[in-house]
Amino acid sequence: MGELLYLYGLIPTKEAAAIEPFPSYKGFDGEHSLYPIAFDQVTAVVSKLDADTYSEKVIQEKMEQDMSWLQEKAFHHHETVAALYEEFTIIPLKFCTIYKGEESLQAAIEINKEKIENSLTLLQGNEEWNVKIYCDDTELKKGISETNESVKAKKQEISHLSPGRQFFEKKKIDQLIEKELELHKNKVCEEIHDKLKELSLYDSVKKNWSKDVTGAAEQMAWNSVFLLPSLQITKFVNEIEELQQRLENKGWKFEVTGPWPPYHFSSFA
Amino acid sequence: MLHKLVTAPINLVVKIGEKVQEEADKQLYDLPTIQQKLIQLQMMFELGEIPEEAFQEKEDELLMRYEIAKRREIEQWEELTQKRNEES
Repeated sequence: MGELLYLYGLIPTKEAAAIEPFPSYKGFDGEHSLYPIAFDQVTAVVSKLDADTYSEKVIQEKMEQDMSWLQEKAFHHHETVAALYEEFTIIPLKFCTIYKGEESLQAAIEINKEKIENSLTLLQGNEEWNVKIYCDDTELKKGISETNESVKAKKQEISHLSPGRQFFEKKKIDQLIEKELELHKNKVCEEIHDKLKELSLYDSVKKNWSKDVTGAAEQMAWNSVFLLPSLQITKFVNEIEELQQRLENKGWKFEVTGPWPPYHFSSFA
Repeated sequence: MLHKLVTAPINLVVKIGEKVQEEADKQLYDLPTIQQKLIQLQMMFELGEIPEEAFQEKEDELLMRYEIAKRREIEQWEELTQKRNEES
């Protein structure tokens, strides 16, 4: 019966050595505990797994067929990474990153050594934050319908037409409003993003989620992540609070979460 | 020793049971814990580590727990206010 290694994250050896003994966290199987393995400047935080119980095939099947197992284990992974992040600078690993043993883990770290060390240096003193912007389309459409120049011009243009013609032309105006709405939303969000970006080291725009997923009454208009110097956090959050106050009566809503383990700004393998 | 454990008074066993339930309840219906879990769940979905179905199922469960926790908080608050009013 062999043993596998479940890898949670990579941390600087210096930081790992400074906390003695290593903090106690329960591992993926609920039996073994997490422990550090130092490979020169980089320390891997792992826990042991029984090779038969957690073979690739078993995990694959569980992930596809056992939703509550998947939810429980994914929470375990991310909560553990978050707890490690509170203590150490960390490159968080993807859920279910498993190695056959210490040798294969060491080989993987060796190949990516430079990338890992650069990442760890970059991450020191910086934090990942997530910003989601939502908007109330109905509210915004009302505004566009009343103030947008192209819409106003089109309305003026059809005002002298017969009611029958007006009916079809109004449909076209609705389409125009939809188009202008998208343009307006992107313009507002891009401006906000550019402003927030000034405070960050790196930024990335993510895919918006559909209403089905968010379950929110408002539409997600922007989804982005930032890597920010810790010193800029207060300014960043204040900036968003200000935006919220200024724009909420126009149908905009901001959701900011962080600090996160640097899921989007660290790379390994 | 085993004998003693087996014959422990029933009410003691019940009390231990209640205590365990209380702890579990605290975890299940603690507002900051639920909020934390919801945010964590969002990130898990964002990273593509759980499929939409698993995300939505868990989100529904957490939101339901959130509702209950919120209601409990309001009830406790009302109870406290009522007590204070009665005392004064």
